[in-house]
Amino acid sequence: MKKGPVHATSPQIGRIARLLHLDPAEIQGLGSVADADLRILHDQISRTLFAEGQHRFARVAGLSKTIPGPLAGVLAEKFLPPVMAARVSEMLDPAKARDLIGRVSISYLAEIALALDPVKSRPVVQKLPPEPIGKVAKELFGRQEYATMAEFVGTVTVEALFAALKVATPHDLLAVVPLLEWNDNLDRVIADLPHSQVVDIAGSLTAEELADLALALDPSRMGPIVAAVPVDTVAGIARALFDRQEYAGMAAFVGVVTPEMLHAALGVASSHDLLAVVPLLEWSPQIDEVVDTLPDETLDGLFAEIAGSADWEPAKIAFERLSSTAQERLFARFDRLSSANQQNVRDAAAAGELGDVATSLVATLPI
Amino acid sequence: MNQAADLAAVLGEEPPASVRALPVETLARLTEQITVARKRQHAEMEASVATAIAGVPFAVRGIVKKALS
Repeated sequence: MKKGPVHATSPQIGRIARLLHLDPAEIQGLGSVADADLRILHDQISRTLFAEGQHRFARVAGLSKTIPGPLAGVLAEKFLPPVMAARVSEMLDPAKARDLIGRVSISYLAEIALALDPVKSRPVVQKLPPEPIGKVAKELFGRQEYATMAEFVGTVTVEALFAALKVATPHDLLAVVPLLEWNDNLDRVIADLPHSQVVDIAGSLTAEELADLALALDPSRMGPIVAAVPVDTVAGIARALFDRQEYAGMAAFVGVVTPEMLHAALGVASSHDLLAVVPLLEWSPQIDEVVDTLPDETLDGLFAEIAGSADWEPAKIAFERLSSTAQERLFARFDRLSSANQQNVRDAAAAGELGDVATSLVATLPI
Repeated sequence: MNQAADLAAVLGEEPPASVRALPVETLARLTEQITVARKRQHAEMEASVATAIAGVPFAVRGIVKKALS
């Protein structure tokens, strides 16, 4: 059974749903709204939900200036419920917040994090050191609070994000990445994941799961992880992407693999897959080399697929991208096509539906 | 009834034009969902305030109660 992409729900609709404590499926009818406007709507909803009682919490935040730090930490954890502590935290002086974060338990901090407003808490959270954020992240990953964690990607510093993702297991990453709203910080962190973590991801996830991760990350960001994946697994990832007809994803994935992996990845493509993916590839000598060495059966299948198709445009684009070696090799097998398909190709050439090279090769065929 | 105006009233500001242009049923549902979420948020907050006032030591209860009043 074909599996859909893991990022079927818009991340912005997912964020709004989380804010409202709803399932994304319950947020109906917003699919036509642009992401930028959904982001504005999310922040407006966030403001309206957390607007109430601001004066109270500002006064409690003010109390932290008069109560000594050690006592304030003890009193907060013992008597301040996390939902309220979250509101107060958003109003703390950042220096005081840095002091208090080390005086309460990680479990209490995790409860506060779950209740924080990612937008309103940003000025304070940005001033917090990465180490306790990494510890809170570990606690939240342990509780599988992926949706909440995803909310904070735009709130924390790049150092804190690095500390948070460093403690994620491969399956944590697989769960959280589809929920993330991508930004430059994430690009930096994913590109700089520790080698040991990358090896762990490459070794722990199945080819299907790595295909999920590739689609969620955007395959172009998979380079460091793919480099640690065995060639056989790369073939498995490619097979999963082709099975799901994720041709654009496959084309991006091909851009980050080694020549050896490219052979493995394109080697599992059916002729139908090749016809779909070739026009999307950023062409390179390595791709030429792989296509030139495709087995005869694949070429026969590809040619039959082209000739049997009613739509010549993708075939035209695909054919014109092939090396002259591959083009001539393909036409050298023209007589293996069925009579009907041979006639289709001749008719398309006569109608001007083939590209220049294909038309000239048809002209060399014996009548 | 102007559903876009109702949504703006709940949000306290005008939503983006593309949201205002959504079908009235969508706007009505969204307005209702935000209203429910606000009520839940309010209830959680009041429960938290009550817990805090009841729980803190007597010596500091006065200033905490004053801060939360």
